[in-house]
Amino acid sequence: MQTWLSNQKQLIDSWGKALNSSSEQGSNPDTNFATQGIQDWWQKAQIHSPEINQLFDKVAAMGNSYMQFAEQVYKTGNTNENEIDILQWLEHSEQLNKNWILQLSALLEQQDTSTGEITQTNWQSWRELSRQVFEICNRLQNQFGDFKIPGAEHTQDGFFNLFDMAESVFFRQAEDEIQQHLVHFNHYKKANVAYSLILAKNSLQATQILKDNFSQPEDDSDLNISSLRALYDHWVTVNEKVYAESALSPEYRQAYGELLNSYLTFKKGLDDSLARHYQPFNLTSRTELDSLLESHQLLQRENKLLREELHKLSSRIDALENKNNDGGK
Amino acid sequence: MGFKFNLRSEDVLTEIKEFNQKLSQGLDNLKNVGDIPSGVSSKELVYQEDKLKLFRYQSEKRQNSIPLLVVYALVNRPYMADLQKNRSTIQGLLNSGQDVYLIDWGYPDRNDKYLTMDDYINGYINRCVDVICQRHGIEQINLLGICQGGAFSLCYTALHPIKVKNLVTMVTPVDFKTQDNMLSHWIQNVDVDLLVDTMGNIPGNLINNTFLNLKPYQLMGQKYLGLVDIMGNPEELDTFMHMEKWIFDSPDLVGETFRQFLKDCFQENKLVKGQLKIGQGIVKLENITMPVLNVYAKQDHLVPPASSKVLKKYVGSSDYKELSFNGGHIGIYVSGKAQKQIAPKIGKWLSERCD
Repeated sequence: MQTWLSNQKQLIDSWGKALNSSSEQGSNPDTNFATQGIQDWWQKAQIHSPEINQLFDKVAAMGNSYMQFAEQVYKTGNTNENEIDILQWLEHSEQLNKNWILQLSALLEQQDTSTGEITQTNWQSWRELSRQVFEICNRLQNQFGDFKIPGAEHTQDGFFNLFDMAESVFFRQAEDEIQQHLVHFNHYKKANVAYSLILAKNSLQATQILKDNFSQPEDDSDLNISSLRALYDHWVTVNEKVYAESALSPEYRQAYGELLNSYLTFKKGLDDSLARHYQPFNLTSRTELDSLLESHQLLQRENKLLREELHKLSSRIDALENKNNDGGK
Repeated sequence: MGFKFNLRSEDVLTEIKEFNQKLSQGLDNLKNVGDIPSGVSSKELVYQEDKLKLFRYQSEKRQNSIPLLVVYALVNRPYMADLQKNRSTIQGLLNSGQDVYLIDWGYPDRNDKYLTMDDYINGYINRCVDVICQRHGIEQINLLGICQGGAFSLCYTALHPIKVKNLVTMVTPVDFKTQDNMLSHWIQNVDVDLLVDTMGNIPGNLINNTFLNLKPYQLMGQKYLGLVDIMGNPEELDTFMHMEKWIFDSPDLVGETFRQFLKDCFQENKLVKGQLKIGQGIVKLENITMPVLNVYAKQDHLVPPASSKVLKKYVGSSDYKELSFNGGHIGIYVSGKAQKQIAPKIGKWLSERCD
């Protein structure tokens, strides 16, 4: 188990370096010359209504992402002739994508072969490594067009909150129950890596298409990129197209299903365990509450049907009375 | 296809500088955006049941004696059809002489988790129809369903055909398994029972994230760069903010209804197979024999046109018409050209069939 943890740590460390490599390129003293502007802008933003604040957050995040894009193009594509070499930038991006794919594949393989048992002694280091795997997946998913897995924020936050609770509670439980949760957790982690791998492959494919587009420029072509914004827009178009094709593939469908199902299996297992722990304290569990709500819904439905029947009967009686009254006249 | 590329390093720096200037200049406009209303047209509350509210829009132009009930989806909020004064499908319908009612489903909570499609269709919608009929002393109304509300309207009309004079469906999924339906493709491998059993009601922001992930680069990235471009224009910024508020105003989805809708419609495509069971009844689309107007958007990424257009094959109506819009799922309600092309034509179609 310790060897496995150590291998995992090495892999994750090399990962971190790979992810940071793009921002460490070049020796320009103004390393974050573009993103700094966004941070300054953000400093000026005052707190307003929640809607405006949320929009501030999004614009700041997008602006930051766009400025990172600008920095990468500038740093890796800049030549001595004061011109941007687009192919130089794309080759750099291509290499990064290939590294990501290699690293994710290795991570996925390790997930397949890891069978070590988690105990209270190695729990903390295992937990920390797992957290890092998720951080890496999140960072990657954000890099690919600010992509987010549906419900990712809930998933990530909820997941670690549950795990924090799990640490204090579960080691007092039967060992097999703990191991069952960990099996579920490992499935979820693996699914997350597999999903990120698809996105990394998409990113590589998009980069290669962009390279092809710019490799053989045609003098009479109407397709002319002469601004950073036009380059970004073209980058979005190509990435979106690759993503759309991938998202309709059987592989994506399977990875998406695995990701959601594995998370839900893990969460449900923990929820059920927590519910069992409520019982000795005489606390109402979610299952009991749901049972009450279901009964309430049944009663409400019956009441509404009865009310409708009463209304119909009442209308009939009114009609009969009117008829009798008319007949009496 | 070769691209010409000529970008100088100093141009990149200039663009970055200009971008930051635009951000600074737009900040004040952004700060000055006031409260954004949830719908703009005047309306009165005519019926309320649990969290549902039935509204009637005020108008001095009502000519059609058959009122029109608008049934919106459970996803997002119905004020998308009444976003701004100059971007309002509701206003367009009122201007065409329709007497418009709308169901607002509200924000469901845990208390509503066990509401079923039967409760929504045979319960809530049916009672709203009865309320309207009673108010007007009539036996039939016109029905207009939007998106999932369109699917619900199809179910309702097939189960209660006697109560619907004319049916309008807008961007409505009918065949849930067309090849280009990304949403449906993703859902096929999802364990829906596990999802509902674990989550209860489905969080609105999870659904919303799923929609945004249909076009992640555009909807979560590029769109906000476009915002920086219009930050200097208060009017355009205001429109953007109305849309933005609506997009992220996502009620949670009722668990049991979500379970049946996903399993029966998305996974098993029972609506077109004639196998969808709502309460004690089976939805048979051939029971829909009244006039039908099916409105779809040609660039709809949520409900592909093929998914809607297939309705023609299944309904029993001899008066079936289609109206297409050259735009997307949302643009059909809020774009400038939609205001001229969609609501007036729906109104005209309805008026012609209510004499």
